[in-house]
Order: sequence, then structure tokens, then C-alpha cells
Amino acid sequence: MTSPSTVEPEETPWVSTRALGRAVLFCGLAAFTGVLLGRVDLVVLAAPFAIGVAWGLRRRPTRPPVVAAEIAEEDAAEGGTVELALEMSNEDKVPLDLVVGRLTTSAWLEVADGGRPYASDVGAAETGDRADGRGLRPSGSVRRVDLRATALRWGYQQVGPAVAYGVAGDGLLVSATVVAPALTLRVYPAVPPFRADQAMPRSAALVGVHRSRRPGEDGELSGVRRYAPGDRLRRIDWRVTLRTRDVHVAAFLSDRDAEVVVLLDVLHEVGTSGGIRGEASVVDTTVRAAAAICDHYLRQGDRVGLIEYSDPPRYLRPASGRRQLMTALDWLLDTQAGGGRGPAFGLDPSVIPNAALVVVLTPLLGPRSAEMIATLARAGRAVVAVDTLGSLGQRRLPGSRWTPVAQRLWWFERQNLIGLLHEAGVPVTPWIGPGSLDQVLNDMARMAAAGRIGAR
Amino acid sequence: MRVFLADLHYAGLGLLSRIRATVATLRRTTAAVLLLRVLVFGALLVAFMLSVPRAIVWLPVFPAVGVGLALPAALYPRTRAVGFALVTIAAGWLATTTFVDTNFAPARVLGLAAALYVAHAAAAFAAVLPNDTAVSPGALLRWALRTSLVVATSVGLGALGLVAAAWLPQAQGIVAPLLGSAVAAGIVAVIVWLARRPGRVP
Repeated sequence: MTSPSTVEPEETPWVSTRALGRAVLFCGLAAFTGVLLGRVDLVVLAAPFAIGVAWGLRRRPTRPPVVAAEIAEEDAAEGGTVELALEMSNEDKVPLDLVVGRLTTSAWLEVADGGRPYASDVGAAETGDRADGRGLRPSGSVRRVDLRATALRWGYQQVGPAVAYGVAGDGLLVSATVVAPALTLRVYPAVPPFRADQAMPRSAALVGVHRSRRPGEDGELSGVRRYAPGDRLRRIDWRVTLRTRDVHVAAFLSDRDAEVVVLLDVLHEVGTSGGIRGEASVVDTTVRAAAAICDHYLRQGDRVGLIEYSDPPRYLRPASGRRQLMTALDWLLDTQAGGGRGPAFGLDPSVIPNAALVVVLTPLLGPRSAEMIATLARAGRAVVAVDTLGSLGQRRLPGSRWTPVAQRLWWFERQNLIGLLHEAGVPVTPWIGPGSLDQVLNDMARMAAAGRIGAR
Repeated sequence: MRVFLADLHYAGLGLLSRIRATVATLRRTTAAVLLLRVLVFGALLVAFMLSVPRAIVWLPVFPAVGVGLALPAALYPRTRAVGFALVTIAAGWLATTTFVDTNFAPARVLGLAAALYVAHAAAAFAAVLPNDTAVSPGALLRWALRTSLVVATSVGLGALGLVAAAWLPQAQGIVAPLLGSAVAAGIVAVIVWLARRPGRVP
């Protein structure tokens, strides 16, 4: 993808520099004094300046150079490398002594050579067969600087604007600055390794990979039982039948898919993002964890939806497949910290399907987050809260001697809140990557099964 | 007192951040830009040493004055420091050759002319380059060739003029006005040409 440059129409394409004024002034002073005093040596001092100006201005360009920013791919992964290019060209028939160009990038793109300006001489454009609208072929007068950058953080990162100016006449003339607009690079969040091997507490349709609690066909073997009318003959377990002298059949559990709704609580941002190599802020952890959960369940064939708890809330409807994974990653790029403002009317639980597992990624920093989780749990949704605050909550804060005391009180209050959520049936687990959800999913599945048995 | 100390603390922090920024700028400076700045400094220093009387050139004060003229021009080539240094050195030359070294060698004035022009050309090139610019070696080489060509042509023509003036002492009063008038006419032509074009006229 390339963005060609433009120049402001009211700007003059080429102007003289201070060096030209200096040369003319020095030359005039020396020549005038030489004439006045009859001194040849002063005229000799003026001579190189006169010759230099005459030589430099014998051919003067009329068009400014053209600059363009280029990125090889429109998307990249966090921590991956991105190929960029700065292209400077001359569309004038006069060669340029220098074209100085710089490609500015987002602070989250680390350019290998430090994002410095590049200067190179650029030859004259030639008139050719493959002429553009202005009758010139700039292909022979192009300088291209290939750059490599590392994407340090997820999000929409700007590549550009690219700016350039030309220099002619040995520094006596300089062109107007031309600007190529910025390009947008999509940097997808790094997907940390994540696995959840435990069965889902609830499942939806009779397809999928999760072992359900219901008997079915061709799923996981659940045991051997006595033959009952309606059982298929091919299910008879002959070894057990011969040993027990009674017809026994193998029983299976059905495989089902699940619906997962990942709810991102980004009302508050804590910590400063250090990108892929530094410390993760709460929003960083939330987005990366959401990407990992989406990636895991969508690869299993489940349906995954996303909700951002912000003002106003954003939704991505549940769907399955590879396309949904790309859509979800795109959707995550727009995630921003909400500055503490939640949705004006809260979150409507009816937007979340009954059978869905709701994974709430939350730092649990405010009462609104706890209220939202409790509301979902009371509405009968299977909710798991994943604590995204991590070690940020235990960081020692600068302040007075009372700050550690206040911080400790706040910590106890938060632990109390987590305890209340546990009592409301919402397990809270810290985000630790692989296996973060296994223990809580196991507990929830057991609780769900126990509930059914009791009901019978 | 406490407010004063707090202000002093903040001033110190500001100074520290400025020093850090300057160090960071210096660390990013590229060899090509540094070379041009060194060239400006060196050429102006040589020009200054050529412009002062030979008998007193090695007095400690003169190198210090030379550095005082050349260093600002090398550090700030976009400012008037370069023009000031050029005019001061030329004025020094005029004073030296008028009152002290009335009989100077032609090589000395040719060397001075070359040094002044090299300083000017290097400053003009350095002025359009940010400190951390990566300059392609080809561009630098071609600039050096063009500058050498201008210097060689000027030195050749200057030598011819000086020799002609020396051979025709009776015509010395005519040579300078003639050459000077030609240069002045050229300057007027350049100014008129610039004035008739769009853009800033110096």
C-alpha cells in the first residue's frame, strides 16, 4: 500500500536559502570594495562565490520532489516485523542535489535505524514511452529507502506521514516540503498460549467437540450398561455380554459445541503499556487474553462473541469459524480504556444467550464492574470472572507514609468484593495464560451436574 | 525559602532534561553531517589564520579568536554566524594587507578564497541537513566534486588575474575595476533574475 505526496497549492515550489543571500552579499561587498580600492585580491576573494552562484543557478528546478510512504502488508502481529519503504522521486528535468525525506511512524513501531531522515541525490526525470499525465517518467529518478520496523503494541498504528524537501544549486535553493499522508497498519494482539481442556458447563447444539453430560452417539465412551429396547445392535459389547451372560451395550456421551461470550471490562486502565517487550497494562492484558480465548474456542469450532463494557458498549455477535477469528481480532483493535464511564443503562443480560459461557475479563476496580457481573449471574448466565489486574495491584505506589496503608485497605476491599462474587456463584480466577479457566470450568461443570441430579 | 528551593529543584530538572536532549541529539548525529560541520570549522579556521598578519598569527589570542568565529558557524550553519565569520575574515584580510603585510604571496590570497568558499559551501549543505540524516555517500561525493570544480576554476581565474595584475603594474588600477565590475554585473543579473521569479529574494 502506497500513499503519494501532495504539496499545498499556495506554497511556492522552490525558494532561495540563506546561503544564496550570504553568497550574493559577500560577493557584492568584496567586489564593491575591490573596485573602490582598486584591489584585485578582494575580487579574487569574491570570484569563487560568483562562480558558485552562477554554477548552482544555471538550471533551476520548478517541481518539488515527490515522496510516498509504503507498507508491504496492511496488517502485522504484535512483536512481528513490518517492511516499510520511503520513496523519493524527482519529476523535474533538472537533477536534484539532495532529497531529504523522513518517514515518521507511531511510537509503537520501532524502526530499525531509529527513524532518521534520509538524504540522497536524485537524477532528472526522463521523457519516455510510459509517460505519466505530465509527460515524464520518474522511474529512473527514484530513490527508495527500505526500512524494517518491529510492531511493539497491538492497535491501529500510523505509518507516516512521510515528508520530504528537495535541495538544488548546492544548497542555494530548497523546495517546499511535500507531505504524503499516513497509512494505517493493523497490528493484531499477540495471542498468548491458552488452553482450556475442561468441558464447558453448558453447551448448545448437538455438534462440536465438547463432551456433554447428555448421552449420545459417537462421542466419548461413558460406560457399559444393560441392553434396552431401541439400542443399536452394533453397540453391543460382546466381551462384557459373554462374561455376564446378559446383553450389554457401550454407552457414549454426545459431543456438543459451546457458545462463549467474552466480555471486556475496560472501564479503567491501570499501568503504562510497555508494548510487547515491556509491562502490560490492564487493557493490554484484557485484549491479549480475549484474543487467546477467541483463538482457542474458535479453533475448536465453538461460537464466540465479544462485548466491550464501555460507554456505549460494543458488541460482536457470536459466530464460528476462521472468519470470525479475524473479525474478532479486528474488533479488538478498537478497544480503548473508557475512563471509568460505564454504559448509561448498564448491560442488558438478554443480549447474551442463555447457554453461553460468559468470560468477563475485568480488573475488578470499581463497583460498576462488580454490579455488572452480579447482574449477569443473577440472570442465570454461567459467568467466569478473569482478573486482569495481575501484579499491578500489588505495586508499591509513591506518596506519603499513609499511601501503603490506604493501598492495603483498598486491597482488602477488593478481596472482599471477590469473596462476594464467589458467594454469588461467580468464580474469579487470575489470568495466567494456559489453564486459566480449567479449574473454574471444572468446578462449574460439577456444580451444573449436581444441580441436575438434585432436580431429578 | 521552601518555594525558592522548590523552584531551584524544578530549574535543575529542566536543565537536566535539556542536557539529556542535547546528548541524545549529539548521539544521533551522523558521520556525514559531522564531516560537513568539521569542514566548516576547519575551513574558517584556516581562512582566519591566513587573514591575520604572519608575524603575530601564533599569538595565543588569535587561535582563540579563530575558534570563536568558526565554532558558532560550524554549530549553527543555518544562522547568520557563517556570514558574519566570512565578512569578518575578509575585513581582517583587508586590514592586514593594507597596514601590515602589504606584499602578500598570491598563493595566500588564493588559499584564503578557496577556504572561504569551502566554508560557505559546506555550511550551505550542512544547513539543509538535519543532524541525524543518513546521507548517501554518492550525494556527498558529487557535492565534493562540484565544490572542487568551482574552487579549481576560481583559483585558476584568480591566479590569472593576479599574474596579469603583477605583469602589468601600470594597469593594476584598471584590472580590479574591470574584474570587479564584471562580478558586480553578474550579481545584479542574478538578483534581477531572482526578482522576476516567484520565491523569496534574499
